[in-house]
Parts: sequence; C-alpha cells; structure tokens
Amino acid sequence: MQRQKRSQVQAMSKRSPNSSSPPPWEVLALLAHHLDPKSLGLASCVSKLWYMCMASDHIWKPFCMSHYPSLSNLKITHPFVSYHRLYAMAYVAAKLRARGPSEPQFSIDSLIFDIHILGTKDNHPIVKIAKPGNEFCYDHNGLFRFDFGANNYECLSSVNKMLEGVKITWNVVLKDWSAAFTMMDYEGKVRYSPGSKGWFSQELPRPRCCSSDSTSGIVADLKLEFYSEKDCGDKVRVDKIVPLLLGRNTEILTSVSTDDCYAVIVHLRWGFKISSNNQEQTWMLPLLSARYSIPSGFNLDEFLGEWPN
Amino acid sequence: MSSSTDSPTLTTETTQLSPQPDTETAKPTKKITLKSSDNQIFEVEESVAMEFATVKSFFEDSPSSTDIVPLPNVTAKPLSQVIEFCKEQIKFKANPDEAQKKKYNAEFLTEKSDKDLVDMIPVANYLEIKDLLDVLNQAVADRIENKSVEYVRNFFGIDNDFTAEEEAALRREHAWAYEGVDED
Repeated sequence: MQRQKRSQVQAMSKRSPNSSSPPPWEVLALLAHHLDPKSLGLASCVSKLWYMCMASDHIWKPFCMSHYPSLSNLKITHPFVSYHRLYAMAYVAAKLRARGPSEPQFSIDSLIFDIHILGTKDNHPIVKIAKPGNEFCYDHNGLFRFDFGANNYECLSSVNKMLEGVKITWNVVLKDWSAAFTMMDYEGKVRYSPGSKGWFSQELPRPRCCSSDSTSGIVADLKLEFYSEKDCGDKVRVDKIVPLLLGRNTEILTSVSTDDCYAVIVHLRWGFKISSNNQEQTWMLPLLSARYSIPSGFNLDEFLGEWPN
Repeated sequence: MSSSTDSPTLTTETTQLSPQPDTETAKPTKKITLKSSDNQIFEVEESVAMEFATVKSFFEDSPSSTDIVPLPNVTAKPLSQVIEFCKEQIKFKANPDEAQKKKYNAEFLTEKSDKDLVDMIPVANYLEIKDLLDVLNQAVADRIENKSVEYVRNFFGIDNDFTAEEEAALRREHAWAYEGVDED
C-alpha cells in the first residue's frame, strides 16, 4: 500500500505544476471517433482509462460491421465477445490469408540429414550417413523423397535369413548447429537378405490442439534395400536408403508448392521447436494455416508452449 | 401530468423574456471579464464569450450579473489561444467563407505545439466549445496516428498504470496494431 502511494506521489511530482492534465474520459470518448482502427488499437494500450474508452463496443462496432461483416455476426451468437476483439481477429486472419505461406526459414541447403541404423543384436552399425541437403536430388512428384545409394557404406555379414532387430534414428540438423529435429527414432526388424526391403514408418507427433484428428497425418518413412554381390559370399550390402516424408493427405503436400524443397521445409517448420527467439511464430504459421485452418485469433503462444523443449 | 396546464403560461413568459436583440444593438461592444485559474483577467466581447457554452449558461442563469466569471479549471495560456480561435470563428459566422475558415483553422492548428493542443482540449471541453473540440480532436488524432503507445503516453503526459503482466498481455492481444508503427 505504502509503496503504491509513494510511487503515485513520485509520478505526480515528475510533472511540473503547469504541465498538461491528461484528457478526461469524456474527451477521450470524443477523440476515439477521430482515430482509425490501428491507432485505436494502440491507444487501447496506453492506460486503463484509455483502454476503457478506446476499446469500447460502440467505437468498434461500425468498423467491425463495415470491414468484417461476417465475423461481426459472431456477436449475435456470442454477445460477450467484444467488437474490438472480433476486429483484431478478422484483421489478422485477412492479412494471413492475403500473405499466404511465408518464405521458408531455411533452404534444404542448410540442413544435414543424419541417418543411423544399428543392428540391435550385436550393436553393429549398419549405416551411418550424414548427408548435407544440397547433395540430394529429389523426386519431383510433389513428395519430399530422395534416394541415396548406400553401396559404399557398410557391408554387413549375415548368413541368417531371420528377421533381425534394427534401431533407426533419422535426424535433421541445421547446419549452424542451432537445432535438430528427430524425424524417426524407431526400432524395427529387417531381413538381411538380398532383394529384401525393409520399410520403417513412424508418424510424427501430432499437434496437441486445434486438430480433431488423432494423428498428425505426417509420416516419416524409411526404406532399406539390400542386395548381394557375387564376391561377397554370404554378405549382403545395403543397396538403397529411401527416407521419405509422406503426408497422409498428399494433396496438401502437392498443393502447398510443387517445389519439393518447399514442401519439406513446411513440415520441418511444423516439427522444429527452437526456444529463445520469436521466429518460431513465423515458422509455424504456414503449415498451420494450410493444414489445420486454425481459427483466427488462435493463440500461437499457447500452442507453442505445448511443445517439449 | 399536472404541469400540462401550466405550459401556456410558460411559453408566454419565455416570449416576453426575449429582449436580447435590443440589448445587443444598443450595447454592441459589451465586454465580459473572465478570470483564469492562475488569476489572469481576460476581457472579451460578449459575442466571443457566448461561444463558450459554459459561460453562456452562466449568464442565462444570472442574466444581470456583472461579476467577473471565474474559470477555475482553465489556465491563461490555453485560454488566450481559445479566445483567439473563437474571435476568428465569430468573423466567419458573420461572413461565411468555408474555404477561408478551413484555411484559418488549419493554420491555427499546425502552428501549435503538441502541448498547446493537449492543453486546449480540456479547456474547450470545459467551456463546451463544440467546434473547437472537434478540430482539436482531429488535429490530435492526426498527430498520434500510427504512433507507438509510448509516444502517445508522452504526447498526453499519461502514466502507464498497467502492471508488467497486463501490459504484456495487451501487447500480445494488439500485436496486429503494433506492426509497422511509425518511429517516434
């Protein structure tokens, strides 16, 4: 209490005796009629009294009705939402829609794809690849997909035609070492035999809100193919590794952009969570608006807050 | 409604009580004395003082008053500027010339400092000079258009009475308005 009083006194003494007295509410109410929506929005943040005067329904109703008649309708079904809030939501929604997806934050050149496959039986590494994104040539059918021949990697010894356990980790790393995202962390089985193919599929975690789907609809797939060489005896080699990101609704992947690079970036944005900068917001928006058609006014901060660090 | 029977008498009374045109022609330069809160005396022509609705109703309540009119909420500087403005408006009333009036108003406003404008607003409000209040509000609105919250606070000398949390929440809520604000 006392401290509050003192700060009030200080605030008053800051001004010289003949300095202006702040406008009373009845003047503010008049002033409000002379301001455009943006200035009104800013004016609402000046002080409590200003908020009362500048955010009032009768000021915002005409703006809301003339600019965004459709959202204004919500006032009828939800009388407690303010016109001021509806206007802000509609404004942001209109802007997002006009802007479309923002530029990719990183190009595929700034990524390293790190794939590690380990035989779980004897912890024998089968594949260790760290490939910079710019070395890929990728498929142009609207899917983010690339093959890489792996025949120069590990030669594995297997006489066994039984299924064997493998542990697969697929990370995407930003070249500046600021972040990594795990696309796949999976234990499965594969038959080490010529001509056999191992498919590994793992769905990316789904967003915890704003989607009624029980799945994210985005799947990381990895295909492993083996072959044998005549002089290798019982040995087989890993022929091909095909990491693939697949949207359950592939239309979205193809319609976002025909540029594969762009499509994956969109998904990575969805997946990456880097703390400390507010760029997160721009990362998330394109995908969210494209895939989930989030309600406008949806609080991204809260959404981001749900992501594990 | 018992008063309905009284109404005819009332109207006759009011018609009788209108000798104003005569007094105005007889004493065209009647002066009215105003006193600001910092004890400065202003002598203004009655026609100018009648632009001030507050002063006008003061004389309507006590028509025969010859006292000095005290204006306890008004300091000398903004009062003198308000009087200056109203004097000109009287001239335009006599000789309507919209273009000239607009030009005068614009010049009057542009040469005033931010502080002058802010100080005149409560005066115009207190004296109930609607036209002036209108142009002042428009001028102030133009000056704070698309300016930052801090700029507006500074402009009007307003203390931020939000807590840090409240302010952060407002800022988030109004992020759309904060975008692309002019430099202070």
